[in-house]
Amino acid sequence: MTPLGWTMLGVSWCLIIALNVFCIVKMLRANETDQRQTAPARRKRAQTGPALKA
Amino acid sequence: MALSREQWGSRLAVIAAVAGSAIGLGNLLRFPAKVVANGGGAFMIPYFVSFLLLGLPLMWIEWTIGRYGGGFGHGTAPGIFHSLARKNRFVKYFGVIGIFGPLVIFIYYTYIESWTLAYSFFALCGKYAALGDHASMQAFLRGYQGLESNGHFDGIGWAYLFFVVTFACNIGVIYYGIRGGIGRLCRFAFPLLFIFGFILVGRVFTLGAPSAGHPEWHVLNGLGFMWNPDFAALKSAKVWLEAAGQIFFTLSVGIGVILTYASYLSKSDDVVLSGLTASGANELAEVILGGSLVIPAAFVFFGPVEMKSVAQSGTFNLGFVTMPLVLNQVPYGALTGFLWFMLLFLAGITSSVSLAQPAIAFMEDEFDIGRGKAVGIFGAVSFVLCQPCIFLLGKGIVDEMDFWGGTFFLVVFATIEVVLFAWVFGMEKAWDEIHHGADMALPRFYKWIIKYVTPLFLFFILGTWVWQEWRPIIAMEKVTAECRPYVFTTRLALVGLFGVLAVLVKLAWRRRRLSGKEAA
Repeated sequence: MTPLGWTMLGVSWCLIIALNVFCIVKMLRANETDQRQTAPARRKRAQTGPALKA
Repeated sequence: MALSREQWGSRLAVIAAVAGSAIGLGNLLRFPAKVVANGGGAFMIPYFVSFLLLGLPLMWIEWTIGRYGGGFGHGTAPGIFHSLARKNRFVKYFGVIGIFGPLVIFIYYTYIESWTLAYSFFALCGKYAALGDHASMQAFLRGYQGLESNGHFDGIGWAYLFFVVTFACNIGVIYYGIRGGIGRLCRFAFPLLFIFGFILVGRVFTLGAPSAGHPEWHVLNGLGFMWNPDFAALKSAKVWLEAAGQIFFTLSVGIGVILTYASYLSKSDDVVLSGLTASGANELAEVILGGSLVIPAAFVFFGPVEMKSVAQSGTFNLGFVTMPLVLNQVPYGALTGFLWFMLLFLAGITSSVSLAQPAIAFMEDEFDIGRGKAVGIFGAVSFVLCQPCIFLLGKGIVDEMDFWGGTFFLVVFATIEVVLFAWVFGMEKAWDEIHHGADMALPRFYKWIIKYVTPLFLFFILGTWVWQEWRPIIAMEKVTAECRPYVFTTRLALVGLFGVLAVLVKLAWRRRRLSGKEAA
């Protein structure tokens, strides 16, 4: 295995692990927010989604 | 809507179901072979570019239009496309592809899936444990498939038995519905698939250099065989097209399955993060598990020279000939072989149940047929349609069905989806719809990618395929004279099946008009 081979393997693995960690963290945060929010606030977010920049 | 539509039990269930549908034999067998054949580690550059420009946008589009159509009581592409472009009477007929494709794939995929179940049983029994070379393992496979009578098998009986068991498992899961059947299966099979996968990766990485007299046939050199980059390959357009094709097939976009699954979401359910998570899980299975199992494991026993022909021998040979030979040589080979084929079976069944769902959802949603009856009709029809794939294997029927149902129409369907979503439905409305209930906002440049880059990318792939493959495929130039009558009959049967589905769509809309659900 050459150093470039290690680099390609390492970068690919890191990108994919980072993507999965990002998704898990985002989901845990979303669940926490859902549990903290009051029912009307949850309904409002469900209707509008995240604050989209114009 | 006479019948209320089911909903997923939890967000995890729908993510596991979509990822389970996407993770299949292609992740574990097709991907490593493609990497080796297309520049090694350098292949990952066009692969990730395609993931960002083609895979993710199509994933988000399918999740979004599925959820949108589900809001109108439609779970399949004809109804979903009609919801997106209500003024156009013909758009629903493009949606026929979204039922036709999964049904055609289901017909042959279930049979191939049954081989994995059979081989996991054979591994435990030690039925192929004494075989030590490619020729004898190839004979074992051909005997099992009923293509020849030999010392291993004297007929197709075992293959048919395992097919019936696999088919019954699929129908049983589908019968219990989205929440009780598919959701429950995926919640159990999805983690199990990763557990089996990581156990096997651990086993492969600790193989060292087991071939006496060949210390250079080390597992690290096996990884190097796959990952050492050849950057000159990036100058070839073929490598970029192969990477785009791999992303397309691995994420299961363009089949019509994801939009059916997403139609069971509620209007307030997130699609952005869920779609991203399902894609991420699929990539984990493909790049980390798929990239660490077959090639490095085979390398340590066969060495670099034989590996070149092994890597080019095709998906089935890698899975059912090379891997059993490799696993025969490792300690606890029976258990490791069982884990390998059970891993493939779990990947297969979570995909096959998803392929059945569009046809069943079509009957439920558009004809108000109850779940049990719809599953019964689907089971009877698909069981009959599976028979030619079993008894006429090797005559080109499966390849023909795979080309039209599992390759060509996927790209056509995805192109229609993205044009309808970004250009007919309208990008501003589409952007708002994607973000309805979303837990995170997409970067704004994706608006531009979805509107321009993804459709152009798809038209380029479609155009290149048509340019290179149209004539040889239509004229059956690559088909042997013996197989031509079978391939031609299959082609006619596929046209007939497509026609029947189009007539059913017409009848469904006439029924809706008569019952006042649809304006004339």
